[in-house]
Amino acid sequence: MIRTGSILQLLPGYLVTPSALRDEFELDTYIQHNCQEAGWWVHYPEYFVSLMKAWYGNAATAENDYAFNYLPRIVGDHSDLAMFVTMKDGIMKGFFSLGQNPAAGGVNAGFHRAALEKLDWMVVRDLYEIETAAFWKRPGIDPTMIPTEVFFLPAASHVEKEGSFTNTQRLIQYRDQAVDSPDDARSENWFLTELCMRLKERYKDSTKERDKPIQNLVWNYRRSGPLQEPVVEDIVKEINGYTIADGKVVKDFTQLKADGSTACGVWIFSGIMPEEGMNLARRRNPDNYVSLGWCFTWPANRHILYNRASADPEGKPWSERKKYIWWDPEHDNGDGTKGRWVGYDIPDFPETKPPTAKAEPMGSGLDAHSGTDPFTMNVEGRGRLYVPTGLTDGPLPTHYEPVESPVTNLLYPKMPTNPVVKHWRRRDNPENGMANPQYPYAITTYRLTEHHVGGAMSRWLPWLSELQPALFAEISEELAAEKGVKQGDWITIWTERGEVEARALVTPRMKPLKIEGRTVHQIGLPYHWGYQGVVKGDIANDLLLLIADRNVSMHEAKAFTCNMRPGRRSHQGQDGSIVARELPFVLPDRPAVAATKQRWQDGQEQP
Amino acid sequence: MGQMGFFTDTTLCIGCKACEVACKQWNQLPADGYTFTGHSYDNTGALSATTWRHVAFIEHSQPANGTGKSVNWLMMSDVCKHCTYAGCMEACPTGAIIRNEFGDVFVQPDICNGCGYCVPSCPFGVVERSRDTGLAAKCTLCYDRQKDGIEPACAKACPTDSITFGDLDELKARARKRVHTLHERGETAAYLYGVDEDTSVGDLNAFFLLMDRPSVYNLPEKPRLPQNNLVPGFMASLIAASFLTLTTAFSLWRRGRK
Amino acid sequence: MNKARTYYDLPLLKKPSWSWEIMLYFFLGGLAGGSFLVSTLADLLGSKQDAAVVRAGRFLALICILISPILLIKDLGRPERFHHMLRVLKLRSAMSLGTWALTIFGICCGFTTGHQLAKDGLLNWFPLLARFMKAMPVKIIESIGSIFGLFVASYTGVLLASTAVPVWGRCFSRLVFPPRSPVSRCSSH
Repeated sequence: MIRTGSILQLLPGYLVTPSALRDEFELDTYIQHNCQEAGWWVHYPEYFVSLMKAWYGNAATAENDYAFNYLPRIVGDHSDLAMFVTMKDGIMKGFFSLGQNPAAGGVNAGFHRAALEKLDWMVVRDLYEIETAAFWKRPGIDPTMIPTEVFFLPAASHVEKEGSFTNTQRLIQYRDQAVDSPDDARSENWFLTELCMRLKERYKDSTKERDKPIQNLVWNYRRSGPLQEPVVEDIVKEINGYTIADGKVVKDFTQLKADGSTACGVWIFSGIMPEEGMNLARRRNPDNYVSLGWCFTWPANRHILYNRASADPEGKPWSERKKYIWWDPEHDNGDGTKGRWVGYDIPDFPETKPPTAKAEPMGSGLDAHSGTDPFTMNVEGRGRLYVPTGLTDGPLPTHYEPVESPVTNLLYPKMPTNPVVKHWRRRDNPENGMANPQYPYAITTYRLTEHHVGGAMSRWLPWLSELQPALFAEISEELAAEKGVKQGDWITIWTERGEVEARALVTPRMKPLKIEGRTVHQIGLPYHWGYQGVVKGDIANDLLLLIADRNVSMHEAKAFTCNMRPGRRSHQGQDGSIVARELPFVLPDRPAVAATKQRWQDGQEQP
Repeated sequence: MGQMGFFTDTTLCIGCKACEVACKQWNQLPADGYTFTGHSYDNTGALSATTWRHVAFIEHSQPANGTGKSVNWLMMSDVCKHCTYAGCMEACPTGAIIRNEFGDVFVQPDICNGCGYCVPSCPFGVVERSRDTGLAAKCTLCYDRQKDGIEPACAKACPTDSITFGDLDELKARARKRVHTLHERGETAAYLYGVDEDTSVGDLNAFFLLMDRPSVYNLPEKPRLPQNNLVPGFMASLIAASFLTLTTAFSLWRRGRK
Repeated sequence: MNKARTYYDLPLLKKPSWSWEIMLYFFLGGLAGGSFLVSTLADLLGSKQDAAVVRAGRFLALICILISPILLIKDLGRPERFHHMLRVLKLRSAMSLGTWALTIFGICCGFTTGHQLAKDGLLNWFPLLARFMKAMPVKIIESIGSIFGLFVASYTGVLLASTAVPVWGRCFSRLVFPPRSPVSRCSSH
């Protein structure tokens, strides 16, 4: 399961996946690392235990640390880019790609496609047969040399299934199914449910310890309709949380317990169904300001987090025009006490804790915070100008050049680029180098309005495809004149990783830069094309270096260097056709794959 | 009922082409083909039988104030002008092209027989005969949506309200105010095209706020109603025909006398 | 403002989709109208020796006027809806005027040439029709017909001039279109 499951660094609700690197093999160690004595995270155990009860039900008991050992452990860098490196090295055998298109969207996309060739099997679910699903028969490739077994399962689009959208303002908007999906296209809920049922059936008689997580996984959503779709509101109820004994929903996450009596799929969403069948994310009651009656905002329908900070230390709004919540000392709480935080939003503060409250030095949770500490999730209760721990670089910003830059860094000549950037220095990930005259142009990749990322959701639609039908590169009039390129000519752009051909869009909007006394030209390259779809084109991401920032492994290759010449690309593929040069090197196969290929060659087996 | 139309304020257009796609989706028009033009971001080119909204992109290099070359990127969503005096409507021999109850020029697809005479009769080069259906087709100003009391698809989709729909008098009043505001801001190039015009096509029910000469946007500088050539044309041919008739008659009569 | 420019040198107007059918019709229409005019004038003003001219003119006119609608209908985007041309008469549409003129001229030409055929004994296999045709008031019909025939011969120039295409609107082209046949007739005498 460790090799075939998707490994997240976080568990739902910003809980943390246990890590072998931190010796988290016992529940107590893990809780000790993640629970905080001050601040709201004092409740960490309640949320974690409730999550395990939601997943493993009666198999998660106090005796077995609530099935703590069912969870896989972090053993390294499992982020997206690192995962593909693992895949390319043959360590990963299987892969699910759900609504993703790494064959076109991957950083150093040629590396990603070569990595997919190393898998034993892959499942792709998407609306169309995107580049990732068709990687094994892409132009220039001999499919008989690729042993990967690919399962392409058509997916229902968002209007063909019931569910919700959650936006970056934490607003969860529920919507119903509008149309039936065509033919065999199915929703994720249906697919994952069917997959789970079949895995459970396959492993039901196993006595191995490692198969217990599958056997004991709780997955009992009702099914309905001719397609036997899982009832989505059953999922909402599980996300909201319920008490185990009577199956009744909890009002919100304050009712979750660490003693195994409650279950909750995502604690930050708890409160979305405070009563049986009452799905707050269905509400559509706007008002002129905060609109608390519109759907459900996590957590607790609170629209602005830390909104205690909208009032000054005395509890009065900083400004009358911007008042949001404030302390009303005369408010009758109905239980003999007076004083409450009132206003336009759900207060992000204990509702009856006065501004004058003192912090208890040995207090637990929010008792350790005073009445003027709005940032309740932080252990110190205060906001932070910069992150004091956890980042590998910072805290103050400075200037570094991209790893592949046409110029050096005047500020730090001896260390021109970020010293902690994650490099994967390998033969199949060659670098252009810094200020290398062989790659004199600065290039950035970006989006157009008419297409969507790798093109999986736009290049199959004629109405969008005709708006921008071809890969083009934007170059300045000066660069065009220098290279003898006219409007619309084919040009070839290359880096150490690969080459792409594009139509030249000569425009005065692109301007040459004057840096250190010389002219540095820029090239702009939209990255929406691939070898599938109504309109096709080269994959811009083939040019990129696989490189990432140290903190979250976000790729660093937005701006890099390249060279350019007039004319179409010239590399020949395995089938003799003129195709993009993908990677300069072909690494040796894993022994099992090499043996299979040898058998094909010897005629002992059919590919 | 007041006349309904479009005010397209090109200073608000962001070139997103939502209008093109919304129009195609609502009217279920096919794609026109996939050709990279190299004309800035405009791969559509022009209005056609199957493109009833077309966003034009013009990159304007102009000398900036000493800080280097500056580029002004003009964007404009073109559409049928629904002229007060419409060349296509007057040319149509079957009566297929009519002015509907909203004051807009509409091609009735069940009557048109595809003679194609409206096509060269439009001074703006809008209407075209479709190769697939054989019929002349152009923007309907979403006649079907208007009948249900909702605005046209392009106006609905436009995220900046560059395209606004409504009663023409209200739109014109708003547009005049907008030009005034722009002039006060120093944008003296702004003007209205198709309003208070002294041309033979009259005011345009789909009018525009432009920032450069009409020809830059592929619009005629002085649109003319082509039917104004009818009377002089017939006069001239009447003279020629009379002349030829008389000479023929005379020569025959002379023969007869011999 | 800047000087007038074009939009990437793209044409502003749309050219019509007409091709060889319409070009041929322009010629045949002119030929029909002109021949009919000459035969009418010869019939009204000429002597016995012009009977051959009359007959030739009428036959030529009929042949041309039978081919013309076929060409026009073939060029339509929806040929099966050709009759929609006669739903309305629009005085401001050169094509509407021309279609009606062609129809009326065609009918006149049909009766006139029918009369000629009957006179020549070529309709004797259909006696009823022959008698009917012989009884036609030919001189009236062909006078009316010539007026419409002249119209058919010359309106196409006006039709082109009444479009937005600038070069067609120039004066001289309107004079190019009037009947070629009378010109050729005159020159042959």
